[in-house]
Amino acid sequence: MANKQEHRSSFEDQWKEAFEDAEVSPSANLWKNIDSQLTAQESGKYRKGFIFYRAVAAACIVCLLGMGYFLLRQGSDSQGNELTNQPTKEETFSEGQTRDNNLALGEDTARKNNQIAEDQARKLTPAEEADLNNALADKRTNNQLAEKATDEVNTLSKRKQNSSRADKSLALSHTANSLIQEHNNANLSTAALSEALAEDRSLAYLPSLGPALSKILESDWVKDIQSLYRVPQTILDEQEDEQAPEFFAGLNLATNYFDPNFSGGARGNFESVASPSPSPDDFINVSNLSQDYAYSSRSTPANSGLENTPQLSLSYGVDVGFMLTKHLSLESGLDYGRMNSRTKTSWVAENYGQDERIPLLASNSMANADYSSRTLFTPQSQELINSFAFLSLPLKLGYNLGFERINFNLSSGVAANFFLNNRLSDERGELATVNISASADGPYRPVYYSGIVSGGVNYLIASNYALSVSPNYNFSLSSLTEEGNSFSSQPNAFGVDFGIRYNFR
Amino acid sequence: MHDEKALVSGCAKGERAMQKELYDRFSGRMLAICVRYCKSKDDAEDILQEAFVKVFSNIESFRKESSLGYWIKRIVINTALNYHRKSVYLYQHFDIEDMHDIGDDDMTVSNHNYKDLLKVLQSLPQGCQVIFNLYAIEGYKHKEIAVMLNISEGTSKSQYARAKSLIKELITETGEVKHG
Repeated sequence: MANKQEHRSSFEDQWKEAFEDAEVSPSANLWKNIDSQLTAQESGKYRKGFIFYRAVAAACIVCLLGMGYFLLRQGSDSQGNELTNQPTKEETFSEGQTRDNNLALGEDTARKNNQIAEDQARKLTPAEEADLNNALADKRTNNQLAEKATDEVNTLSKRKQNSSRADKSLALSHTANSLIQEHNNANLSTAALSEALAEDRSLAYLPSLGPALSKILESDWVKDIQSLYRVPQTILDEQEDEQAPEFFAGLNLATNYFDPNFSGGARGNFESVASPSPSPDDFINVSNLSQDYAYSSRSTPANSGLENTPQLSLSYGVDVGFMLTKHLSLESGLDYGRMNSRTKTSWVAENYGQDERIPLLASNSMANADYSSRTLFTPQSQELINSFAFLSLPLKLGYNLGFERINFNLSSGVAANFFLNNRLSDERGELATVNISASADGPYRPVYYSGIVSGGVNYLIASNYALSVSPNYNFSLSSLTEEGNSFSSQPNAFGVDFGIRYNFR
Repeated sequence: MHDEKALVSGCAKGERAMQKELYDRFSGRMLAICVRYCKSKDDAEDILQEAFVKVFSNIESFRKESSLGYWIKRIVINTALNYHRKSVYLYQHFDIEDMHDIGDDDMTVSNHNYKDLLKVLQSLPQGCQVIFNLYAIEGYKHKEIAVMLNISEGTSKSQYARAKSLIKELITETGEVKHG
């Protein structure tokens, strides 16, 4: 600083000596003021950190609620299944036990059916009562037929256990039977049958229909009706089988092209030295004081690095989601992304030791203005990788359309993107790497929000595993930069997500 | 009493006791610099407060290649210049040709004490005061001052010549200080 002895006279030296070792005692309040200002700054940092943790906590709550909702629904469904399928559930123990159980089941259900029929008979007309009594008498005396019916039930119930389609087929059989019964004026009361069907679709009531069922089902016209009726029903069943999973979770890897999309940029007070045309390899010392970038109109560090070329970037993370309805899904997750772009600057700062040169751009010029010893300009731009790291928390609502193994998805939503750091690096290694972290004094906000639009395809590769490919576009809803900066950033990115997903059915 | 390395390390961790120790060690010298750039001690303390907050907020960027005192001094000077930059009228241009060269061979200030000289300095117009500080006391060249203050080199020279002229008027030949 005081190395310019040329042209200096004794007059200047006298002044310098007079003030060299001077000290002035500050007032007692000064430290208190500094202390309170530092405390305010620190609490501001904690507050920003708190926002981050609060958002993460909110996301966790959303995920937990989603999982809770799914588990509750799954629990109530299985409970319902247990109630309706209790008799057939016992069949799974062993083959011998199954037979015994079914025989007992046949008898038990026959008794139940008799009771129902008898109850019903009390309300019937004398003619209907007579018909019903005949049917009951016929059943009681025809054990062989009852056993046969029980066997049919066993077969059908096994099918039901294996597939919900069996249940539909049995329901279909019930329906067909009721039609057939009506058509043939069978001995059984249709009222009793309808009530039995209405009361409980359980297979347990079928044995009571055994004799009539066996006879009627063998006739050709019934088979015709059944085949006609089953065609659309089967298609419907298959579609329901392919119903989207209730809850899913997966991993994703995404390739993106990220553009920080800077705008603005102040000019500074370097114009007087930036205007000459030095040889391309020269660095010109323009001193270190850059505090007034904002008031000039020519090339300065404060408007450097604002033009960025997006580079291929990677992000990865976890996805979770659940189906709100058959077609609507709610998805969230947590993704880490390092987004790269390429930029240039003609400005570098040299530190006191002069063994390190720091690239100066709009994002770091103000922070370095007061702390570097020299600012240098070169007409030969220095190419830099401008890299941003984010932790993103998306929340998307999707519409899903499934065909066999393929599921098409269209979704949109929002994401909270937590800024982790901005790294300016020189691939040639000539300039020092600069890291701008999320801090109260930095130019970047700790979080910015973006909108997401994506479309995708999932392909079921196994019963529960699916591969997904989803092109997406991400656009900022809020600025990445703090207010009061000379530049602003509204990032956007487009890319393709590749993922593997496990479906909890 | 900690050494400089421990102080920097403690301040970087945000330890308030270390920050206070650093403040106690340097605040007197730094306030003496601030008052040279200001008209009053209150203004100087405002600058010092802002400068120390910057020091503590950015002490991680101190790379120990220079002394801590030198690094802090630079921040203090820069903060003082920023403080005065708000007054756009500070650096009125005077053509150097308009100013007659003030010979300084006959000016002796060594027989004046610090307080008197400070009063003289503080009684100068703001622009002259800043440029006189930068040139005569800090040792910058006019070319550098021009870049620092975003003014022409000629303005820097003319302001300095005007400052010397005023100082000569303020300090009588008998050595008494007229103003202040």
